[in-house]
Amino acid sequence: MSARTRLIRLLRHWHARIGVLTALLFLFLAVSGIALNHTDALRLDQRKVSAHWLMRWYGLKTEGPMQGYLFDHGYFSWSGRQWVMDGRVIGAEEPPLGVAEVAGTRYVATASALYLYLPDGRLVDKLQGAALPATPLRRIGSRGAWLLVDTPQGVFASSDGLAWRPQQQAAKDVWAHVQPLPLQARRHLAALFVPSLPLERIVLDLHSGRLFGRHGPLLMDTVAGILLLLSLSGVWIYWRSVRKR
Amino acid sequence: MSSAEQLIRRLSRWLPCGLLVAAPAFAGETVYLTTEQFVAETFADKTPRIELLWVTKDVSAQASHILGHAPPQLRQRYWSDGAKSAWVLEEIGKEEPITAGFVVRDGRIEQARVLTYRESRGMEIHYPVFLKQYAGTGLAPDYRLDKNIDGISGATLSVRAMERMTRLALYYDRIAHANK
Repeated sequence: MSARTRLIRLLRHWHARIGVLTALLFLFLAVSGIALNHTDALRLDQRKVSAHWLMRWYGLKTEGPMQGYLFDHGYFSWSGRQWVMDGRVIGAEEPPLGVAEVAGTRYVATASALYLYLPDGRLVDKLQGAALPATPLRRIGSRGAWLLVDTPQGVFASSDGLAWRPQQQAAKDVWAHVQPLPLQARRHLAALFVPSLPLERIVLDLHSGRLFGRHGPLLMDTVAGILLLLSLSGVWIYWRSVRKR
Repeated sequence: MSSAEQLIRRLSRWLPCGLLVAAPAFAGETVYLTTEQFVAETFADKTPRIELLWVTKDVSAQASHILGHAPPQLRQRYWSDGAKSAWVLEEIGKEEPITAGFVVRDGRIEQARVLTYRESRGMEIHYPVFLKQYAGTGLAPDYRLDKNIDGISGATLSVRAMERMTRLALYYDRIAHANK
């Protein structure tokens, strides 16, 4: 047997073995690559993954809000741009600067808008611009059946969020302030704000190998190198067999 | 002139065109008209009092049918001087809400305006040449518009959002009249 034939045999032998051993990885690279190419169609960026072990792997911990605004029967809190009232996510806005309950309506204020909610979380109205007595809103509070807002133009009161009348400076204790949430609410919020990542990020990290840590990309580079070698050896083996015929 | 210089010259010649094409894709929130300006223009500075339309269960059901989702709020404010009414509504085109103003007289759209546009594409809907198509439009018995509105390629979702808001403004106006 000539040295050339021995080389070809050796090449065929290892080409097949390495091919079988790494087939799964190639398959995975191909499938994840196709998925990433069609992120929008597969809505990978919208699907959230929140598996506890995976989030721990990413170093993401559950951090529900510990503080909020308390009503007689309920609470309001927020995390990032998400608002939560009595355990229900009711909107995605900027952090509020105050919350008050007047005559069964819950008012949530940001600098530029005032949101009116029913206790069941339904939005009644969103007041902004000329519907407010002045902006930016600085504080919000309540006194009896009156809602109070503090603005650079002074303090204004309203009973329904429609008609406003100027007020004397109000006492300090009327203004809403952040308070520690009860333990039960904190537990509920911790469960609600379980960290999650878009599926696209996870598939991308798997595809690039970053999910496996610092050396993950090196592993994927090695796999890509092997794929390159297999392609070259495969072409060469094929070319030899064609020439023989 | 070196080939590098030639390349830079060619690029600089085409760059403004590229920016012009790319500009709408990077636009953020654009306020064309504030609510106050819209109302003041509509009523020639004799702004009537704000009126309220409560979105009751029945109204909400029909509004949901028009929008394809529940209306965002239970209390809709509007302005009316008896002859015409002005409505400011919000609806998401693709990802961000578009704020639009509608003036309704005798059950037909007198004027439609885009007040604030927040989407990255489709801002062409604010052009008067597009919006004037809505003038004279009313509600058909199936709560669709009784007039065909030509779309804008590349702004399909914004055009659809505009159409839904128009139908809602006409429907709310009808309910407001019936409640009086």
